[in-house]
Amino acid sequence: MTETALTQLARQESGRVLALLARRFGDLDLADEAVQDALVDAARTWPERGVPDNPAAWLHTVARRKALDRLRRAASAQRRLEAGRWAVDDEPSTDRGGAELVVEEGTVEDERLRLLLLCCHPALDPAAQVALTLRLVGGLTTTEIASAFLVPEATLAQRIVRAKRKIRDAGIPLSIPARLDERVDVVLGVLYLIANEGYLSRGGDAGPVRVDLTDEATRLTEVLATLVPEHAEVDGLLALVLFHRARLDSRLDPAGELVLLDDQDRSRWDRATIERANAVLHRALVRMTPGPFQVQALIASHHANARTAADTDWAAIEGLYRQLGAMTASPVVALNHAVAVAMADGPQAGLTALDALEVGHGAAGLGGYHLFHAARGELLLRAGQPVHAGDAFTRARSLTSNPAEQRHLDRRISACDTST
Amino acid sequence: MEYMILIHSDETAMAAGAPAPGTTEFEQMMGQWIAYNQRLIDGGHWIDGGMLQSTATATTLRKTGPAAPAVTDGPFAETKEQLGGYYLITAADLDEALELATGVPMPFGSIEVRPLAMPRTIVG
Repeated sequence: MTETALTQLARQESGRVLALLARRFGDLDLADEAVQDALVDAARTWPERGVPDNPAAWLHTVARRKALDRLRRAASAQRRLEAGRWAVDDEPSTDRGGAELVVEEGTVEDERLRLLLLCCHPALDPAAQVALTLRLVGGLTTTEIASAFLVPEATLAQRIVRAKRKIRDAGIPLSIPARLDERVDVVLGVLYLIANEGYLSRGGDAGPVRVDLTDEATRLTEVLATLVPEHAEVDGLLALVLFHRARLDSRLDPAGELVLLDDQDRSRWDRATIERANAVLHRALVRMTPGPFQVQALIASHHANARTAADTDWAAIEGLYRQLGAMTASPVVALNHAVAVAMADGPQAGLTALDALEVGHGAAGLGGYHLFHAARGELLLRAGQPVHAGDAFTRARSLTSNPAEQRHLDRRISACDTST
Repeated sequence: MEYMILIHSDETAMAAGAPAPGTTEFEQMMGQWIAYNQRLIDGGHWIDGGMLQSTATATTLRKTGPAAPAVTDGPFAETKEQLGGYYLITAADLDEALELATGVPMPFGSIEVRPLAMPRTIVG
């Protein structure tokens, strides 16, 4: 088994195994350490002795043994300390080892849901929720997550350690809460953050070890959709990330520069993924329980299914953004709505909508947001005011740290200069 | 596990909006607190609880070493919301503690939930 294949397996299976062990031993940290130990063993022994027939069951059995070893070591240290007796129960009789993974798939899925809910517990810091979810459910390494979010590895490791400590000390349980819906909303928020980061940060100076956060978010949302099959918003988010996934490759040109939606080569969009997203979105909409992720997926579907940029139904998109604005009261959504107004009714109408927005939400909210000024710049340029447009792009340029966005804005500033 | 529920609110606003004893509003408000206390007792969660007098009655000792502490009038920190009451409860886990804390009949304010570092011995 190659190293990549082993990584793949770790991503797919370690979350399940960890969920089972965390539940069984009632100790998240122990389960995590044990799974890491088992993966190290796999990396060492599989290349020599070959890959076991059922790698997932192997991983589970070895990780369980590692956890028991760790408990025994801790217990004997404790014994030496107290000179008392504190034995660890040996394998309980109900234990069926790796068979658990195969036979009781339902239980495994329950444990995975518990683990996902635990990682996204509202009592944890949002940044820690994201890191824990990718680390424990997604099976990513601390190094991978740190480089994906462009934070120092030590910072991220610290974040995870602190979150695990809070889980243990504050008594955050591995349980499925009575009000599952509210908690699923938090999980959706975390997965959306991961997907968004993957989508927006593509232009960054991604190193070779950088994992694709969009792929991870898609995978984790698929997991959530199997765990909570009746939830329309879960399917809404899944459809949304699939639509984004389908268009991802055309967002950058061969030189790594951002390509705007209008200019993207639609023949490079992944039709199969768009069809899947359409089906998932349909499945969500027939449940008749609307929500912001479904509306966003609908907007994405209008873009993804338009054969050309000119075919885009901007009037419909404008209406959807208005709906979304009513659901979320987000200034960013209001900004997108103003852009849709411009596309449907012309740049002047869009500028009026933008100006109303600045008053409505206060300059403090959107004034520091580079996309607000970038959108203003585009509309001013189209309204025949290149000088003002140039100012707006310059303002936007000063507010973003993403290199691809900076280069894109530089090109827009030059475009304004040549129009004057 | 044992958790401390620390109830913070703007005591000036609370005092201004509080109904006078003897009115039906006052009875209603007290009824809610008594019912909440009973809920904690009936559920086996109750250890202790109480309401504090306003921070105007607070005295702070500042200890800086072996010397006698400096005594000052007032709470240790001026904040927008002040500690006004507490409950000490037992709960299975944080989720149960948060659920119980949600029931505290405070219309406004912040309720901090913190686990005790070491389990106390419950007498009685």
